[in-house]
Amino acid sequence: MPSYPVSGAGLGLRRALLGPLSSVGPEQIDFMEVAPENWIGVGGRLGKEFRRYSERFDFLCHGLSLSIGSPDPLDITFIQQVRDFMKLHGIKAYSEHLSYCSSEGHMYDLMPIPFTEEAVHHVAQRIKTVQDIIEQPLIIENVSAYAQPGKEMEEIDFLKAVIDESDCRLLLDVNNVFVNSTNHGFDAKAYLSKIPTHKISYLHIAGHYEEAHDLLVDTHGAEVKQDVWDLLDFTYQQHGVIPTLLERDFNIPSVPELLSEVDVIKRLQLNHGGSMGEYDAKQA
Amino acid sequence: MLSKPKFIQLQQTFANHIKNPDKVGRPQDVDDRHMRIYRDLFFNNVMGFLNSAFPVLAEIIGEQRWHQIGRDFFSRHHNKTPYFLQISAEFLSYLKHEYQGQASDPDYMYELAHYEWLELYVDVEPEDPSCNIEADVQWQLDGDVLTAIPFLSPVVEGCLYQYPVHQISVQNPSPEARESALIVYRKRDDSIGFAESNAFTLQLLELLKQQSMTGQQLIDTLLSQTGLAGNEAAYHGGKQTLEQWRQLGIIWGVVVNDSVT
Repeated sequence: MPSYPVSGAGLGLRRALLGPLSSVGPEQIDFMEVAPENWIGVGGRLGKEFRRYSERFDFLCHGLSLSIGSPDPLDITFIQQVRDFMKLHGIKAYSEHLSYCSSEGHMYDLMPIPFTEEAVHHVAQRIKTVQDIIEQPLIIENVSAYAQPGKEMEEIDFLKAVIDESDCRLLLDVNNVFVNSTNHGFDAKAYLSKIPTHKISYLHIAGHYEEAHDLLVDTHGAEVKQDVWDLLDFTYQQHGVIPTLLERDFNIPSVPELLSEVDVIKRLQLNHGGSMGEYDAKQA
Repeated sequence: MLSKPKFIQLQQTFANHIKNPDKVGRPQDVDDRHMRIYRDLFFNNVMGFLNSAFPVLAEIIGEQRWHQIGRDFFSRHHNKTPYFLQISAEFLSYLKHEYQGQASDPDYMYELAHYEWLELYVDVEPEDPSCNIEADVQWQLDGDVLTAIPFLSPVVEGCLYQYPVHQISVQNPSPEARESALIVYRKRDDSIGFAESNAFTLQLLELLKQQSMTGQQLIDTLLSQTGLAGNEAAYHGGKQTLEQWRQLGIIWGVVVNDSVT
């Protein structure tokens, strides 16, 4: 049986949602996720508001600045700060993007790692360093990409090789699989079928923007497309019911609209026989 | 020296092109249509951070020039912080050390940026590294700030500017230079307070931050440091300042005696 750090249907917490979600409880949202880069070292009113959330909900860290595939050295102090932040707030796990966001300095957005053998070793080595510091598996996420520079293998093979070599876990972003299958012309279901079930920690789902029929951009700024809901359904069919979090970062709608999308996740989980609210407490 | 692996070189080209597309070509195997997505996402993202941290400066400088400055910052400055709220501090450092000014730049450019950064800093800076100073020192609202130790707002900064940066706006873009002592502080309800002061009382504030003394001792110390010991008017002024700061919420209250060891 696979084990998960959280259960059910989650929602990413943004600063803009602190007010709107203040009267929403864990019976509506099973778990939440924050970018540690937005909250570490933040005090005052924001720090206190965040504390009220971390006391009420199960939380995961979903990082943005680790830059696991970067040419720049790992920022060890930063990783230690993430670890301490997780301890302070009882955060259950740490996920990051399989990408890089720095090269001679931080650039604050995600770039595609070339899919090569050498890059697999580079990334796996760095994941191991992170895991030694945080004393738990790092969860890496497949990212959306608009280019594949220096590609020598398929994305799915690169992803699996990194997971194998580093013994990390996977945050499977279903929207990113859809976006990349369109942008780079592969079969999304075949990709999802090749994922090792027991390595998955949780799933992401989100909306994207259609720049052109063959070029999608992962904006997190729109509602989830039906094609992506269908892929989530397929994922549950292939890998069982897995905790799933909705990401919404821009054009944030009203709370009822957001919660109705979270409810779609819950409904799909129920359709696949998922019992909500149960999970392996050993992971927590 | 070992040469870098090919994929690392490619990553650096990819990144350098995003930072500075006019100077660095894109990787050979990526077409311009796809590369443009990255260029736009990254630059808009950085400009978003700068716009939200420096809204007044951005508006006064004007969109075209502001974008040029943003591009120069993004392409040349080595950002060390992984934290998004600290990008504004990186930009401030860039303005101070790397930015090459133009004749058309207002003289107060750096000072205005500093003042806008200060507002953000006071809003989010933790009270102390463990975020709970109140648990360490007991304080109460009521009490005599002269005979007791004043309890200062845990996040308060006083700065002496050469321009009245707090009055600059698009409606008032060219104020006369005028020394302006400004205090930005966190109030008891966590909102941000702004107060105008003078160079002398900024010294009182610094003393208050460093020393645990009663209001009376603070004023006496400051007066003797500045050669004004025994000056009744100056003493009275200091007393009024402390009272006024308590009204404004720069001083939150007084330290409870029991907790002073």
